[in-house]
Amino acid sequence: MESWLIVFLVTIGYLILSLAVGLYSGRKASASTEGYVAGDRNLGFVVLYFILGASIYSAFAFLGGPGWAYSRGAAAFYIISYGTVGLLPWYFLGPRIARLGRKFGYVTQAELFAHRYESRFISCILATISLVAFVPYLVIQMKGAGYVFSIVTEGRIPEWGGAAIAYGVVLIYVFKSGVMGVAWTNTFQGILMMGLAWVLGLYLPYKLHGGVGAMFEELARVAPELLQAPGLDAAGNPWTWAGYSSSIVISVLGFSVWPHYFMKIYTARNIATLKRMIVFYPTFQIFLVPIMFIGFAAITAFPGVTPVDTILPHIVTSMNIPPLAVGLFCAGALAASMSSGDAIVHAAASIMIKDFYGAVRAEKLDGPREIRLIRFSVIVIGAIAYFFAAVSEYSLVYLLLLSYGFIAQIFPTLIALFYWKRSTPAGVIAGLLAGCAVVIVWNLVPSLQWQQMHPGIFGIGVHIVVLVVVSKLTAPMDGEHVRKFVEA
Amino acid sequence: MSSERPEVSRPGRYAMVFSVFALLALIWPIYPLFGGIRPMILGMPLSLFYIVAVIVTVFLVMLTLFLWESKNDRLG
Repeated sequence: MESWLIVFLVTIGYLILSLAVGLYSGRKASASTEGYVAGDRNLGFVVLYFILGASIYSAFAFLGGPGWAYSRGAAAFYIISYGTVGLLPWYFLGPRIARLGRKFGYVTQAELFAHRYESRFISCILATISLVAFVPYLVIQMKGAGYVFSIVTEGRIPEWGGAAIAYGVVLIYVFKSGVMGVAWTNTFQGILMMGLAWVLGLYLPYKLHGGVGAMFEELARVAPELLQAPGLDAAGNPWTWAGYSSSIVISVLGFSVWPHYFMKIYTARNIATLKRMIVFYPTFQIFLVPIMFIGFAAITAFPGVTPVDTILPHIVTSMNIPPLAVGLFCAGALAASMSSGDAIVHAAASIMIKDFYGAVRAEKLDGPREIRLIRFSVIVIGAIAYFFAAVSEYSLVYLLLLSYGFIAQIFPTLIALFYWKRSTPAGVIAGLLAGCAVVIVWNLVPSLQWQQMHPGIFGIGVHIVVLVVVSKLTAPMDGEHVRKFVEA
Repeated sequence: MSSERPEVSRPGRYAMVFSVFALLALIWPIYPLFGGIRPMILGMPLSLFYIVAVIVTVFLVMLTLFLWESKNDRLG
């Protein structure tokens, strides 16, 4: 058999398995909105661990992580760092969010915020921020999937075809099974991806340099600037500490409020399960260490590869690796893309209907109608992202940078929600809008940049000032209502 | 109700303070102290080994807190 055919068959085998797991798991949840969006609030530790772990490790980590280590060296360590502490705020906020969710029936992030501030407008703003941040993220996952397909079939399947096959599978299981499909496929995909990262991350340094230690010794001799923190910036000059540190801070703030992770708080079976997952979460970060080894291994062995994100497929296809192993690599890379893409599609559809459509409509949606609309939105969002991935040549990196700055703006609101009784709807709305506006302006006007500081930092600063000032200037909310949240 | 609250939230406060320290350990001005190449430990440059050490520390500290809370029935 031709080797590309073996690779292709292994990849297809993985897709069929994902589809089977995704379809089967939907039978475990009830037919209500709570079942479709929050898994009946009954997910256990292992599934919760993988749903969050595998959603964050996307095509960006799997292909972009080695690319960063390869081109920017120690700068890539920021990717490991932020996830280590990013979920810790949940240890003290998560139980309160979960309790309120159970008491008032929330399944999305905006439902909590809209209820606390008694404002449908907040729901619309949060839904808009979420959707604006989700779409470019999803497009990048699709492009990653298409890219992997095209490389391994030696161009026989074009990128648009590969993206359609992989995301066709995702849309089917998300449509049918909702969050349960996301949860169980992520468990399967997460295990595959982690296993593969370790195998490749230890094998490649060994094969190319004789071991991890020998590889770093060689780099310390020929390219010490890559191992010295904080590494290099995108242009290849030493990165600033302000740039490195602020990227971590913005990612940490954003991490705990990304709407598709936040919603998973409501899915936990109980508080102990939620807390155990948060405690074990940093162990998932260890999986990024071999990912870094892959990029470092290629620096002297494969110099000058561009674009740098293609370094991993480049290594795999140019070394003499058996086709079965190449097939497993493709399955792993697809798993990385799909396990993030499915969670985003599911969250985006739920948010579009519950938080946006639900807030602008006068009367309440009934359950079966709501689920039908969410399912319909799964297809719509998949189609929009696919359009950008396959047809448009528009650069998404820019939008992706913006989206991190936007999402981090939700964090000060979350803190005010629980810890500042005096915060008012007007203050929160003004703060969110001002923060996002600053992020946009700082991105549009490069001369405002200082020491490569992340624009989101300026957004957070302005956000906090506006939140405090406007809240102080407007009438306080009813004390009885606020106590339900501040003392939850 | 109000007399029970501080007891329930105390572990939460520890977690909060610890989170801030863990974040500070990974950025300027603490991380630059460990951002060099040598000594190489377990085959990794110090800049990478230090981050792995922080991950392990965060895990162990949070695990201890969690186990203490479960033992004292304070998971909430």
